[in-house]
Amino acid sequence: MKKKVLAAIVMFIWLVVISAFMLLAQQVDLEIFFVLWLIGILVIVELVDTRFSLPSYLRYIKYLVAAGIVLFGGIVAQKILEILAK
Amino acid sequence: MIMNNRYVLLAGMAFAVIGVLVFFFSSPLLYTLEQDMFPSRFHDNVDALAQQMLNSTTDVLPLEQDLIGYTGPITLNIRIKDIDDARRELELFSHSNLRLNNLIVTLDMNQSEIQELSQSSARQRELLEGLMNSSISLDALQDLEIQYRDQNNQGGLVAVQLQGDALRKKIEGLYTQYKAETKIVTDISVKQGLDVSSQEESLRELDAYMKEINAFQENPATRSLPIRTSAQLSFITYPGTGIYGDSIKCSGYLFTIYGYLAHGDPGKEVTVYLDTIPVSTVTTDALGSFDLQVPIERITAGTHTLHAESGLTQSDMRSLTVVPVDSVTTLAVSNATPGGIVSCTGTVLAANRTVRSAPVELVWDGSHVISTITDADGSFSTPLRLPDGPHTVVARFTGEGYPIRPSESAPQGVVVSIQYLPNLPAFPFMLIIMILLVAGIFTLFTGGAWYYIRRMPGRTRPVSPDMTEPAGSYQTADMDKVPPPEGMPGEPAGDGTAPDSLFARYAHILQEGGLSAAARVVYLGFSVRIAKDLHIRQYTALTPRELSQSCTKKPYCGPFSSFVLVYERVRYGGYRSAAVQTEFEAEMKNTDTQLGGEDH
Repeated sequence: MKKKVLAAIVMFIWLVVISAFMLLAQQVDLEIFFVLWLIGILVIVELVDTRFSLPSYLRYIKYLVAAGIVLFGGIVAQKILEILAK
Repeated sequence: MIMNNRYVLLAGMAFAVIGVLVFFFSSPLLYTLEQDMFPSRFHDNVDALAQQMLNSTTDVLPLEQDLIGYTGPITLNIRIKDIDDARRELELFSHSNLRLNNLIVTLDMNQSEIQELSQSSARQRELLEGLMNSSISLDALQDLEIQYRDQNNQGGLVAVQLQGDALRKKIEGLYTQYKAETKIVTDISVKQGLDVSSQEESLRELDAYMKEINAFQENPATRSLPIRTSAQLSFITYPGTGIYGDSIKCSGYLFTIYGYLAHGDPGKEVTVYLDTIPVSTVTTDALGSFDLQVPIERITAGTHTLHAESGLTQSDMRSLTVVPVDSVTTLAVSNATPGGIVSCTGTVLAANRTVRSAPVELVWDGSHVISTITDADGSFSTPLRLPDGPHTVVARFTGEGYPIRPSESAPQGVVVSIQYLPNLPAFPFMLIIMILLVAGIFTLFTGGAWYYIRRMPGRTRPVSPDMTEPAGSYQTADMDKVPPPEGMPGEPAGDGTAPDSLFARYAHILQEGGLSAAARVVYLGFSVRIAKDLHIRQYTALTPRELSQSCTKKPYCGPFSSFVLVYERVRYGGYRSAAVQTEFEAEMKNTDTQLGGEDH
């Protein structure tokens, strides 16, 4: 099985697990969902990354991860402001 | 052949049958009437029975001996109250008597002493059966007497004692009759030379039994009630029905009875129990009386019991019926603070009374639940942190554990608008810090994202043979500027002293480093040109043979492959002879020609 397909399947399973636990806890939080997605995709990209070449799909995923990191920075800033506002 | 086998098989079977019959040769009579055995009396062969001789009186004596031997064990079992064994022995006694009667009829001895013995034995059996039944009834009455004595039930005790007296008289009468019948049986048996020890034993056992039951009757200790000296506790509750918030008045009197006198017990602790849970404790006053009130609070609706205990003394149970009532829950929600906190206050009332310590659930947006409890005044006040946006809050009293029906407040709406930067205009310094902080965080994470994209763990950036790359990269058009790979002899500087063409460099390095180093320089020159032609980025990772296999569709591929074969012999095979050098130089020239020279 190709790495690309395997990565997509693992990502799907990871998101299903997150969703299932959120539904069981009866608390669906998009922030937590986003952070867990980011962690998952970071781990998957590190595992499927190649040594000598950079496939195009990996390059695009890395752009996506970079955007996720920036968004995560926004969430962190918002949380810090919330804490300071209390 | 098959036919012969059949005959042999048949002969074998015939011999087998004959062999089996040989065992019965000495006694060929396989069945006689005398040997006839029947599994039950319904299979009796009447013809066989007709031939049996029953005219001997000697068959009677063993049967008589058996008959008179049953009474001893029966009376012993009655005395020791083993009723099951007594019944079993009586059954055998009855069967034995029946057999004797049949024999008497068979032998035509109707007017004989044996007939008289049989009749007396039958009466003995009836008397023993009566004695056994009376003994069972007497035991039951004695148990009942003990029970009534424990309950101090004078009326029941007298009735039982009177019945017991009547039963004892009946047993005595049965015993007298039994003695008379036993005397008849004993006399006849002695005349016939039978053993009468069992009859004598039965009389002894019954005599002892009569003494035992009379001894119980004549014991004065068992004829009167005991004097109760223990403490007594009376307990009265009022009213017997109540709702939440009512108080049940409880009162009572702790006293000790000695004979016909009763004395109050002052200073004793009395605990009142609701069902099995202690609810209050009080001390008796100087007269031994007490009173207290039990409030109806957290107790389920329905019927309950109340009773009092003092030490080991326990009062009678009193019932208490708790009727459920409706409740009213109110809720007021304050405006949200800049941090999104609202204050929820309210009360829980039941029958116009406040419900204290009542569990209340604050439900916001129908899914989030916060629990709180009411104070002593039946009110609650709880801060609630809500996120941005409009929300509805409801206070819910479930009534679980209370005799109160559940209720819910009207939904209260509240709009929350969280200010992330509160009071910042009053603190410009803080505003600057905040802006710097946010900017720093964004910068930090953006830098992280940039680094993430740019970084290549364990991967070196490929050296492209692209002609458009700046100086320093591999360019076949300017072979003089191609940097030699690591570990290879350096290329002479282009100062006029060093040769410029590939062949000149080859000749120069051949003199200084030998054929192997010179061959390496030539190969690298060819590989750069081929990589450029085939657009192979990682050409340095390829072996000479892999590179030669990559150019199969090119015209120079054949000469280059031949060049590689000689190159491998020089570099890896260690051939340095003049013939090999000549061959290498020929292939070098041929390949260079096919590659179009260094201008290609």
